[in-house]
Amino acid sequence: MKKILETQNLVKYYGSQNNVVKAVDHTSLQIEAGKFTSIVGRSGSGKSTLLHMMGGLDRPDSGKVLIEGKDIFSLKDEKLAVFRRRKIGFIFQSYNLIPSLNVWENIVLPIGLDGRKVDQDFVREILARIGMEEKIHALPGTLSGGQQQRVAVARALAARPAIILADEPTGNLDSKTELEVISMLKSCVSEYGQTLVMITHDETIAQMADRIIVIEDGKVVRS
Amino acid sequence: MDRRKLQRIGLCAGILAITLALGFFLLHLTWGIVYREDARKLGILAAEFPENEAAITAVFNGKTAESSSDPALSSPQALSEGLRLFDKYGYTLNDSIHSGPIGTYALAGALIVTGTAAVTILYLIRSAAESKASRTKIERLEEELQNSRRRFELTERILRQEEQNTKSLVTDISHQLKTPLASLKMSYELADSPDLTYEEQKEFAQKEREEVSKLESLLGVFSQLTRLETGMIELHPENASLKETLSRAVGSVYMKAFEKGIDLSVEEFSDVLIPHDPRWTAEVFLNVLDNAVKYSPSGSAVVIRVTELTSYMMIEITDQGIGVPSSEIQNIFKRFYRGNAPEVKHAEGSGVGLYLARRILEQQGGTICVKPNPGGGSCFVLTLPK
Repeated sequence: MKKILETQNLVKYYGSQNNVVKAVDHTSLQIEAGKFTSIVGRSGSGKSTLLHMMGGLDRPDSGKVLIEGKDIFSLKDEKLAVFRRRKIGFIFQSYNLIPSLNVWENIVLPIGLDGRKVDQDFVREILARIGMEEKIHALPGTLSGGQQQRVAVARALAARPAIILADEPTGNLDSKTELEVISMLKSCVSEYGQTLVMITHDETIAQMADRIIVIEDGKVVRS
Repeated sequence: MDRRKLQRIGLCAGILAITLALGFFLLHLTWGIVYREDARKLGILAAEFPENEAAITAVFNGKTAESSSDPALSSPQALSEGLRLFDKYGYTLNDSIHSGPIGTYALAGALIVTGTAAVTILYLIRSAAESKASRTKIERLEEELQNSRRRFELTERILRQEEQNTKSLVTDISHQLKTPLASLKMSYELADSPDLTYEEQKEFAQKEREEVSKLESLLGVFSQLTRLETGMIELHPENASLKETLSRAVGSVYMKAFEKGIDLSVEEFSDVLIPHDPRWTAEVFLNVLDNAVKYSPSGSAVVIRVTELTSYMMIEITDQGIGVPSSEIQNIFKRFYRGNAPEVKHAEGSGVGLYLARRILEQQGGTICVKPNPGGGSCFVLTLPK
């Protein structure tokens, strides 16, 4: 097994001394490259905090996150942002599209921020895969939830990051759209050789992963 | 890289040399003018005071106060005396600047120095920006290199894993064959014993036949599995009718369902042509349907529902059978995994049906998962891309 992402004794507590919430409590886990891993847990089990730290969006109280062997929190904020932009694609429950940009602009935005040239053919291929090729000029506000999440998936894929981190990507979608978005994400990721880590509280969706990690009270209880 | 550095150094040296040359040229011109101006003043003074010609020339030659007879006219005093006289007759520094071409040359000199400095600063800024851009470019190239290395490693790993899979497959298969073979062997050994009644002999013969047919069906499954697992089977997706593929599977299991008194039905849907391998995809449907029939009581119903999604076709197969306990949901798609329920233990099966189903669907960009059916039993949800 070749691990692409690893957490070592990761700790993140919230609150004051009397009322400490152990969001992530000495968690060590390894994510295998090229695999689809789902992290399952009830809401409040600390899985989102864990994912945010795995992606360098949040700094831990202690512990390390290694991506391809590199300790990402040894980087200064600015360097970390660049590293994150190149290595990781994020998909959030709330889509996080920019309302004033159209579908195409939203998808290529991270590539532009990185000063890279947009591989137009590749982006078009993804758009065709997700069935949005006729909507490239539409603004996010005019799209359904499922369509917006497809755009968010395309945005994460388009920059060809090594790792895609998805935080309850289908939490706001009905079960059919959910199934479709996950199917799409899964097959795209395996086709492009990327690593997918997805957080969910839905066991049905979690089944589609190659590996399931169960989190309870900030700790890995089964993996 | 080195060549660019050399070029840059050369350019700097060139600018410096030109600036110096221009500076010297201007200085030379200025000195010439000062010299000629002095000569002019000397001429005027000499014409005015011919008797003091030698002394005045000496002053212009720089042999001033020391050689002069008047000690009061040593340098500092001479300067202040001169300035006082200028002042007295209203002659200022400004008048001096504007009186001759020296001012113009000084201005030209200043301009050249400023210009050179400006050019140098601009050049430095530009080269800094350039080197930053090239650093970014290097980083990006490294990134791309790493990406392709990653893809390469992935392919390599897949190959190695395939090899590993084949090895473990052989182990698994031999393990699966052990049990029926052992019981067959035991049957034969017992049948050989002389003190068996005719009925007992018949019973053993019957048991042997059963084991042999079990072995036969296992072998059938294994050869399928081996071909898929070792990459000997390539799926050949073609644009084919989903309804036809589904009918093929339903046809194969229909008699079994009928004999068990299970109502197997397909809800009406409008047919679509989707890219899939009809033969292997029918195998997938058959495996799921066969389980549904196997683990459902008589008098229950198995329903197939097809729904068109935006970019996928969704096939739901719902039964009213024993269901899948949530603790086993994660395992049922694993190779050779069989459930722990007594119904599963007693039924025939090799634990590869759902594993094969998942493999075949995923190879075609589809998925399979199971969820509990609200009315009891389970619902298998399959997707295939349109």
